Amino acid sequence: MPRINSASELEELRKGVLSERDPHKPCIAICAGMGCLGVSNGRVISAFEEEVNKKDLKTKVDIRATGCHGYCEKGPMVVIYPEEICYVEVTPEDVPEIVSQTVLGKKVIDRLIYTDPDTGEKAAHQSEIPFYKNQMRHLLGNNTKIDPRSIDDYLAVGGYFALSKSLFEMSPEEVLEEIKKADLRGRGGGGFPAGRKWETARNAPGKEKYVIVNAHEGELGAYMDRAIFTGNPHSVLEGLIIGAYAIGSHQGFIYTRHDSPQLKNNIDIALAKAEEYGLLGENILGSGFDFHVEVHLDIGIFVSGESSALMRSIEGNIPEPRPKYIRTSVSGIWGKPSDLNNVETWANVPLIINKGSEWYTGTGTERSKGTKLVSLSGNIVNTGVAEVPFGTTIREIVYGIGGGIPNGKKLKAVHFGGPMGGSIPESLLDTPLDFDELAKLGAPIGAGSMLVLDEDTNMVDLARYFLKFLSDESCGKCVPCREGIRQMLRILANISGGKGREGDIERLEEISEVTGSASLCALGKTAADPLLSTLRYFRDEYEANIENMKCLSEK
Amino acid sequence: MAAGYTFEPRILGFLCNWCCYAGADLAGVSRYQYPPNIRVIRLMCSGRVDPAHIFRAFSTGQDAVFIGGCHLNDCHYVTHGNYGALGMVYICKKLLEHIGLNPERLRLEWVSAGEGIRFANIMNEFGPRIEKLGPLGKGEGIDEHELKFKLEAVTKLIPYIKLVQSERLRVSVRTEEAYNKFFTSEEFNRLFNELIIDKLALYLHVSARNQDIGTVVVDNDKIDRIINKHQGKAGSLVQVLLEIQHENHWLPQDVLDRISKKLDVPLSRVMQIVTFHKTFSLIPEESNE
Repeated sequence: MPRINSASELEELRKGVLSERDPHKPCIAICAGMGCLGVSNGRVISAFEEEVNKKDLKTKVDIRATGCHGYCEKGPMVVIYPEEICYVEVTPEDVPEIVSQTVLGKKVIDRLIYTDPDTGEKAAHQSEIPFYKNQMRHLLGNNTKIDPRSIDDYLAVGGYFALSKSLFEMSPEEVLEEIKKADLRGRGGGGFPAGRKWETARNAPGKEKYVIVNAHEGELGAYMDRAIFTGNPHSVLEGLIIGAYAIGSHQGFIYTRHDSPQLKNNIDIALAKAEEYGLLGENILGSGFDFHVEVHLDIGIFVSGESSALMRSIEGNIPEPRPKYIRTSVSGIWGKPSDLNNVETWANVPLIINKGSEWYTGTGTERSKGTKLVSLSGNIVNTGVAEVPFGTTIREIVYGIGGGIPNGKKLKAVHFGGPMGGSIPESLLDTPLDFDELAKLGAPIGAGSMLVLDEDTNMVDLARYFLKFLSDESCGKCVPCREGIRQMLRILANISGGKGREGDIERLEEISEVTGSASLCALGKTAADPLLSTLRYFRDEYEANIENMKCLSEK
Repeated sequence: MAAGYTFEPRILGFLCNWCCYAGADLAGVSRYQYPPNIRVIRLMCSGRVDPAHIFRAFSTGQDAVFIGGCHLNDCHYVTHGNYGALGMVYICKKLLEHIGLNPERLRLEWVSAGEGIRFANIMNEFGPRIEKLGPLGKGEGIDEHELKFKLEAVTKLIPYIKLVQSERLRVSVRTEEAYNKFFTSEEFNRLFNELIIDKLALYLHVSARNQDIGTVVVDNDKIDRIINKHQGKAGSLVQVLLEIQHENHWLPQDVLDRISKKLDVPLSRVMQIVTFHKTFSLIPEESNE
């Protein structure tokens, strides 16, 4: 493959790719995401390959192992194009039937399609399944159409158009302005405006600047970054290159963990392909802009997701955070301005450039624009990754997309943001999904993991579980975090172990305040958040725990 | 006995400057005869003998260790160092017994500066006694390899043992009776077993494994390949370590030295990273990570 040297050559190539593709040619898209891999979809994929070979259909049917489709509960999922018939929970034994009946015979196999557990209604197409029907899949939508290892697939859905548009039709300032106008907020947890971060890095003194993709995703119950980065790595890469152009950086890093080999593999392939096509490296698309990317594979303990710890880690040190009197966007890796954004944030960038900030700001709420990926887990019918516009109420997500609580139980609370997040009770379920609204309720959205809890959940144990996790993950550098978490954990263990005393709750509040204000990094600062939010909404449970024990001991 | 070879025991003596050393000197000046097996190290006080010295002596092939100090309550220092020596010897004898060596190989005696004859008598008795016991290890029927790692394990544990001694195994009254009573009591046995033996068992286990696996030669080429793959950049230290950990399942010291040299990163930084993450292992693991 020769290098592409200009925008017009890219369009020609795209046309070539598209003309080679017959839209009526059947294509079998099998989900090869994390969740489906766990339920032996490898066997399903090879069964399809075998079957197609056996029937001598190799030239007539495409097989595509795609990234995560999102509906992990029902995996492995298979979508048959061009009719877009969606089969759920496919086993290797079903494969011959699918090939002969659906791919060749164009008939829908009734027993394999989705059936609504409540109404018994059947849905043959992805768009008719309630889980998908209520989503707005701007970022994830392409996952079913793309083989993550094929750059042509990405070009076929309009990939790298945004890059050539930025490089040839826009100045870096214009790109920056567009992102600022779109009001894109960081999806990693803080919700800090990405445009402002870029601007700081751009204006920071120094010639050498870095851009980084944070693909660490250490939050418990969060797996949406993995879904998008593994399934569609080029979209993130494109966003990164555009960001680098706007900031004036020529070196990027992708920070990921050693325990997701599939992700690393797909990123490596994507980088090699992009370089081969001239979309990465020296003189990108003949525009004169140079940009290189390095993958940094690390241990990835929980605190490595914190920006300054992550940067220290890239430098080759241990991931210990430093005080951030000076932002990392001014002084980051090796003291150079470094802009760090989450996977999802980068993936939003090509979308904004392609369709414009006006289109982008059309969805969402006053202060939170666009869509958000959330991962649903816990006591919920449909586990999986969903993408919804900001402003969707939590109730809609839990019941409309998630399918409610299994076994006829009642919902007790929804926990956001993993070990550093917070819970909201049932009564606040009509709150819209919004950075600020949820933060006001003490349950910041975090990276977007939603843990749904049914009525049997003990909130004291939940808080204890998260604190236990944090006490294991605290790097131990600063005392308030190391000791504060430990002491809170001890009191909580006493309470749930039946040794709670009067005044324990007040003591917890006091320690959490000190830990929160004196700790160095976000891990310590927000360590007590789950505790405080459960105290805020479920204080009676703590009191009951202490009270009960007192009664028992008095007897 | 085989022709031409007689076992000559090697005894290392730690003698206090004020009493026992002077006593030995007097024995020499007075021309008392005793077997020439002992090599003497002069110390200012018998209390300065550390368990580490004793086990070092055994590790280097001494067949016995002799400690000579002033009579109790005659110590030339206000600290009464010889009481310290007494407690220490009790513990060391116990350790020797535990690893299968005859505790008689360690002997503590009080000899004053005037007792030259007493020193000679002790040596006349101790030398042949050790000769009878035979060479260290062989006499007890422990094989050389096993003896080495057992001594190594104890040596590693010594700082901890000293801590335990000062925290839990102290005798409050400074009389010989009180010391003898405590160190032969049930209470001491219980504490010793609880605090030291369990830990020693673990160390012995690890040390034994190190001996077995440590003999496997680490493939330097393989390690160089991994280092070169990461372009020898300092920032890729973690990645190099990770890959070697995956391949080898643990990180031997010489590998760390090599990485430090090749990547031009101080060993302290390598150690900092390796000890920070739970993923890395500095001792061979039985299971795969």
